[in-house]
Amino acid sequence: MTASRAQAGVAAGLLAALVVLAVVGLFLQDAAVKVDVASALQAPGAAHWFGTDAQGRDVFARVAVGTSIALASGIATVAVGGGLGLLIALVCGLGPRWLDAVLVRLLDAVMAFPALLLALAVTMAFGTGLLTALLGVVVTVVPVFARTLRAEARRATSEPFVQAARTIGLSTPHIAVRHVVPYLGTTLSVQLAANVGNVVLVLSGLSFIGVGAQPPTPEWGAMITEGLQNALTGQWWIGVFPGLALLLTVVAVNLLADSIPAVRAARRARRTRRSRRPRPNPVAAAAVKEA
Amino acid sequence: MSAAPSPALPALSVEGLRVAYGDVEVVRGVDLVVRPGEKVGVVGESGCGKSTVALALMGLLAAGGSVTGGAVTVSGSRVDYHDERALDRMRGSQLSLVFQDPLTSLDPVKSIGSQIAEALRRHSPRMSRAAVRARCAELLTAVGVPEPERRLRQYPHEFSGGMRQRALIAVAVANDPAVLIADEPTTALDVTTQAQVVDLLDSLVDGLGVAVVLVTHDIGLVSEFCDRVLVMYAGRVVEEVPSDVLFGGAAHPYTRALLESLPVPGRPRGEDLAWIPGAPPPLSALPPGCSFAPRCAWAQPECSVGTPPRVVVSEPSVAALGTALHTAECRRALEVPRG
Amino acid sequence: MSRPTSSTSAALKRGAGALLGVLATLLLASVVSFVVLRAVPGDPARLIVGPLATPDVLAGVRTQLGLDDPLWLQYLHYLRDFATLQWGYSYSNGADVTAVIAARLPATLELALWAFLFAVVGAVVVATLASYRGGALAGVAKVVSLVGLGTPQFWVALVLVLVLGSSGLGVLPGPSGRLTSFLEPPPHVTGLYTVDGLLAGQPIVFSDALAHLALPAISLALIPGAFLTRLLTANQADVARAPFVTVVRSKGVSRWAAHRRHVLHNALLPSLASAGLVLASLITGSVLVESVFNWPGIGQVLVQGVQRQDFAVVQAFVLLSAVLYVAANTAADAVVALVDPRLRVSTR
Repeated sequence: MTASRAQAGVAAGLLAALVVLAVVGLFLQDAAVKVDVASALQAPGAAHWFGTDAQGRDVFARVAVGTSIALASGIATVAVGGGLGLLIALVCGLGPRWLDAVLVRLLDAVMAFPALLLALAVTMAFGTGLLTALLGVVVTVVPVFARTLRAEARRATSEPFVQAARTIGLSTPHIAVRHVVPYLGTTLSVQLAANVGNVVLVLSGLSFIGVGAQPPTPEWGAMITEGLQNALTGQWWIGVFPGLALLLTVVAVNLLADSIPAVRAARRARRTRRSRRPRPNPVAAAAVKEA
Repeated sequence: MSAAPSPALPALSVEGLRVAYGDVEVVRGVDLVVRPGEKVGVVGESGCGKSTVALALMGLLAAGGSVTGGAVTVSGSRVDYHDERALDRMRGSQLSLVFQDPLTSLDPVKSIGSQIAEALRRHSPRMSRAAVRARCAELLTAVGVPEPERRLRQYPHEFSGGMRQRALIAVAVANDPAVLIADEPTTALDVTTQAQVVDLLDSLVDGLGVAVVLVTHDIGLVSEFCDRVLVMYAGRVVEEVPSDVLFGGAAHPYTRALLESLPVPGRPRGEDLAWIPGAPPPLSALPPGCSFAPRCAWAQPECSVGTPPRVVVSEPSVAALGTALHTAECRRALEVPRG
Repeated sequence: MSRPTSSTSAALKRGAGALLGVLATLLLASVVSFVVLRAVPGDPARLIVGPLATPDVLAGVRTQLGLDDPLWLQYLHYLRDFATLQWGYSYSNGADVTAVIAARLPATLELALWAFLFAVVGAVVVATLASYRGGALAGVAKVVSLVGLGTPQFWVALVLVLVLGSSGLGVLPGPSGRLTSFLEPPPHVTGLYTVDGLLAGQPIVFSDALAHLALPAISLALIPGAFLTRLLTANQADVARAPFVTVVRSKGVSRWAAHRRHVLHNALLPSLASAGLVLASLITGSVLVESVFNWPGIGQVLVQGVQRQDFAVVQAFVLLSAVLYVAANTAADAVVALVDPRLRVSTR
């Protein structure tokens, strides 16, 4: 329990730092695209913390703006995709069986495509760019949410509290919103966090290949592509810093997602313990259970 | 395999065994002597430490648990619980374990034959394949599994619960151990199968001369199967009693209360079963003095002060039996009317 | 079982049901791919002939491609062409897509196989040590696998080149394709240079091919390796708690032998179910990593196809990856059914 709380703390700290960087990025948008050939390819130093790229743009400013792009697009796509996925899961869980069967097959078919390739196909179909890339990523997120939440929603419908709600004649939408959605809480929050990481990775992959955000935009994946050309001649900083930011973001979000179930369980246990009469020492209880 | 222990030596002797999980002591000084061919029962409520005693003797306590005191001797040689290799040599060959739940006690992806053979090969590495196979079949026959050749090739999911427990007993006796520790061997089985497994254990004691320590919460089973019964409460043996005097002769108030709470067929219907007020104390916060005092109908103020004395309730009638003493850890043991 | 005929027919029925499900999934996947890459993007003919072509030329290409047929007929043709390995011609240079993919496949296959080997061996070793030793080692393994799962493969590729490759310490070659330029590829047998090099008795070719493989394969192995490490660690922790492990120990089997023979064995079985995910990660990885190392595989073909708006290449690659994913999962299910005695049809 303490380990997962420490883990959640580290994740929260990392995320807070990234949010600060993203906010800083909002004020550096001009600096991030300002071409200054005279100061091109400068190594990291006091003037330019992360150095400058081939066109003399400040890499730190670009990484900071990239952070705000990544966080905003990651959260937005997961919110939209997760919402749609939740909706499908509720239809599957509470709707007629045949509809569930059809939807599950369809979801499985969509999930048969590796996320990056499906997102790539959708992005290409609607025309290259950051916005279409976001659409492509949403398409990959929806089935992930729908599939995991559907299993939980199905389980919820066999729980006594849902059956009781049915018995007293509550409407299906009411049951879905008031009884099933809260039941999905932990799974939903884990999925939300875990998918932000995946989404940010896929988005940067798309830009890296060249279908996502296009070059002047300081998107991490696109920056790494640019950095590749300079890497062989020794200007490592152009590609390394955006990737480092990307790595830290995904790791922070994954750490958070990984610690959510334990932290939530501990919180719930604490709440129930407080509301009941004092109980024996948990260590002794564990030892007793063992014996 | 060691030579058969001389009849004078106990098969298993435990003195002052203490086990702790972290800071909490769950077994607080247990003495136990089992002679070759003897059947000793250990009973108590869940949480009294009886299963911990079984695992501690095997040296297989769960993570966090450790033996913190006492001396254990198997067939005359002292067990060193810090020497893992020596323990590995002892386990299965001198001391064996039959576990609670036959459904989860066998590896689901290995054949029954290979799981019995594993016990044989471990202690007789030079045995030929054919000899191992023959011995496995012989063991299955001995524990009452028909068609052993076919059954050896099968997997646990193809065995019923009772058959699995038989296979596990075959594993346990594969190397002719001196002592078999059976931890709730019948709890997970249905009643008719329970009787068969008990009969099987009985016949093994007669046939192989193995000593059995039967750990269970089932007083009825113990009184029927065992020569002697140890009653445990809060990590201590509170009464040691020959099983033929258990009903009607128990001296410790806790043992009496346990016996009274047994449902007896034929008892008038309306009558309530007796029950013990309160719950066993948490082992991390034991009451001072006798641990049972707060729940005891016979408790007096002095019961909550100091360790209760071990009182000899009756000397063995035949001097030769030596250990078949009836003792209780209660200062009022001789005053409490025997029920 | 006692009546082998009935259990065999039950298993056949189960197998047939599973096969039908797989076919349905594949058909739906092909519909998805058709809709996304053929129906939505507009007029492929226009993309092929370019914006300056005359309406006559455009109409000719349209007829030639069957674009005047109703959509359902186009879909059936699409399905037939995919199944008969006629994956069309590149929009940009007219090359036969099937031939291009076939020619480039061995390079990717070799890379993916080695990456798979690295990932599986690494994961089994790390996860087994972590769950056997526990304590700090388990914590380290957990952090490493969490970080590994979050790593952008193309960035790791870049960092590896910078640190170990030609522009860093120079320990390993890269990014320079599959072989040093003065070496001749070994005689073609499998198309895998490491294997062919050994078969032809050319140890220099083998070691050179392996050196060229090392960095891209490591970049590719990172994510599936981290994923498998997490999975195997969790599985082993679950199995280690099972009572049968205590029973095995009670036979006198040492803790390590019990772990190896029983815990690891039981933990490996369920991990087969993620074969599809591992394959998907290798496919995705090859797309992202090959271009960094100038590796002449199909991942690079895809990236070039994407940059040239070459839908024929992308279509074939994307649907192929879905087919491979489903095939890998089906094969894994079949293997589990053969290996796991609880699912195996008993014929005795």
